[in-house]
Amino acid sequence: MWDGLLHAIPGVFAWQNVLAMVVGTIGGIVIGALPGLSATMGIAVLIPLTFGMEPLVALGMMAGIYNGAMYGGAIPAVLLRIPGTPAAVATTIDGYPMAQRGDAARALQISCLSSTVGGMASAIALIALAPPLVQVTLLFGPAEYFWVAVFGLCSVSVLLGKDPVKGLLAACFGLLLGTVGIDGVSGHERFTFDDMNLAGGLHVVVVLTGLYALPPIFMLAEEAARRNASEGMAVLRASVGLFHGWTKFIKTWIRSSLIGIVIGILPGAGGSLAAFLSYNEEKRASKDPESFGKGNENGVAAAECGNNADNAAALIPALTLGIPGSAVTAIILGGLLIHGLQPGPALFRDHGDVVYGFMIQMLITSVLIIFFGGVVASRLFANVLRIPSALLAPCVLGLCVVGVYSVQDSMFDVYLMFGFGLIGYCMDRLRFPLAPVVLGVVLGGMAESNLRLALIIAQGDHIQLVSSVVSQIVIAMIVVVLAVPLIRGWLARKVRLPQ
Amino acid sequence: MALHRDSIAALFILLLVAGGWYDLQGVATEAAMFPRLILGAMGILAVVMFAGGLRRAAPENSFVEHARNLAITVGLTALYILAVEPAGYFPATFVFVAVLAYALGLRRPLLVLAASAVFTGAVWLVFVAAFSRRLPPGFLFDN
Repeated sequence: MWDGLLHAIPGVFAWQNVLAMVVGTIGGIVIGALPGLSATMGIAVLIPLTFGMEPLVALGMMAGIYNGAMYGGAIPAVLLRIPGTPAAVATTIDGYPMAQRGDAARALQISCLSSTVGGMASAIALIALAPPLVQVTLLFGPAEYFWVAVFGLCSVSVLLGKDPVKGLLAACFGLLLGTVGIDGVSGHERFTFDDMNLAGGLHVVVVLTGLYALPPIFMLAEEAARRNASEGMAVLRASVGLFHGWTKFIKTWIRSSLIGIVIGILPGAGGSLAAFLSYNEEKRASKDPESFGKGNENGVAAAECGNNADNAAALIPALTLGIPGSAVTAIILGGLLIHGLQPGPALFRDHGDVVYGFMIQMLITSVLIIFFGGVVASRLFANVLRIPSALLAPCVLGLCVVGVYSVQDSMFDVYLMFGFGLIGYCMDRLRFPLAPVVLGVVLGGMAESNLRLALIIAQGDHIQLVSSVVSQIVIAMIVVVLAVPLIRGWLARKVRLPQ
Repeated sequence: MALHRDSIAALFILLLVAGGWYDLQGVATEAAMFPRLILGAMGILAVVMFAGGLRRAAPENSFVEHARNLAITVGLTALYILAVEPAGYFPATFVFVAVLAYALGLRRPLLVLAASAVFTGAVWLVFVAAFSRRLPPGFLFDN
């Protein structure tokens, strides 16, 4: 591990990579601060741009966007009670009351410092835990990988959203999209409708941009009707003393970082859950729980630290097993694949300089948040948040079109993106989680190829799929994940009955 | 009695499953196995969702939040992406940004035009000047 880290350091500090991290962090903070835009969308829009880049430059930019956006979500959450990202919802609980009483600058400072601490702790966990986990992956053959893919899909489908049936349907839809095109083994066309444009399959960027980027834009356009289309937004006041009174947050940061890291490693749990659990734990441990929800500084620190401590940790299963822990890591995984980097043990062996470099970039971009978030962002966002929804929506649409067109120089891809945008909007309105679709598209190929490979190795004997101990453990985990909503429903009924 | 949205969505999914199953006819068994597994699972889940919808009352809130703005945005976006190839990316985008912003209620023509020009200029700078991407030139600039 240390050799890999030392080899990666010179590459990380090349000027192109430093520039990419800086641009990514600033861009991420801007994206996270704009309601309706997310890190997922930012990286999805960015991926086509990275085709011509060196892998480390592209990954540095993605790391910056990821960390920056997770902090940026706190800005509108504190100022306007609009969470810039879903994970920033917990920040609004105490951040907004602080802003209401005139402490917006202080709330943003706490958010910035806490995001940095959480992000750094998470990156260190990624560096320390990912390499040993690679050894574990050597126990995995095709059958085991198939079950791991099923586990990842099931856990994300069940844990995200309130309705596990909708989550599983969304995952199946993603898997189905992944089968479009010519079958690599038999050469048969599947779901191509004799259209040559579909023979090569659906490009993951096209699906991601359509499903994730377009529905928020349509909603942004709808929102423009509610508000005065040209009205200005709140202006931040300049703030001083970024590190003022930081020692009172040390316990909060340790607790929230641990919660965020553990949640991050679990596929499907996500930053929102990490932020809420951290906030709840902080409130539970506080001597003054009544002050929570009324502008408690530790409440803001816990939510933001927990939220950012999930970031790099969510990459641990993505890099070692190819199982992304969240939608944004699924897209980063897509970015890795586009640059020819296949997750798993071979990634650490064949591309150690890139993968360790990426881990260091996650750490550095966490630190960059202090400068760009705490010092620069307050002035920048006074202007960016003034962009009216009516103007923001068409600009982002134009960006999506150019981004998707650039993937394969194909207008057909743009038409597909538009179609997926409409599907994504309907799914969003029907409360289908979109992350399982993304995971389905990303994991579909892996699941199918490993299933078929396992059956070929076993000469068609299906029992071989469940014969190894690792397979049985993963299957047991799948059963537990699927049983969670049933048990939860049974418990809820049991509690309701006596009333 | 009006069906719950979930039940209607489940019926659409069942139609998708039937269409997918039909489309797989003639495909070799091994190539069709995985998609059929998924379609089978989707069919079962859709039936569960349909039944769940039957037990619930239809929601009172409308499916879309603001139908007029949504229709304007979707309609203009459709026209825009159809126009990109013949008209060229930059002319089409300049007009689209300005027209959609105005249609959504931003009644400050100078700001709208300036923002549209800055946006298309920024895209040109990043995609064409910096990354040498060739975007659809359209009839005006096609050589």
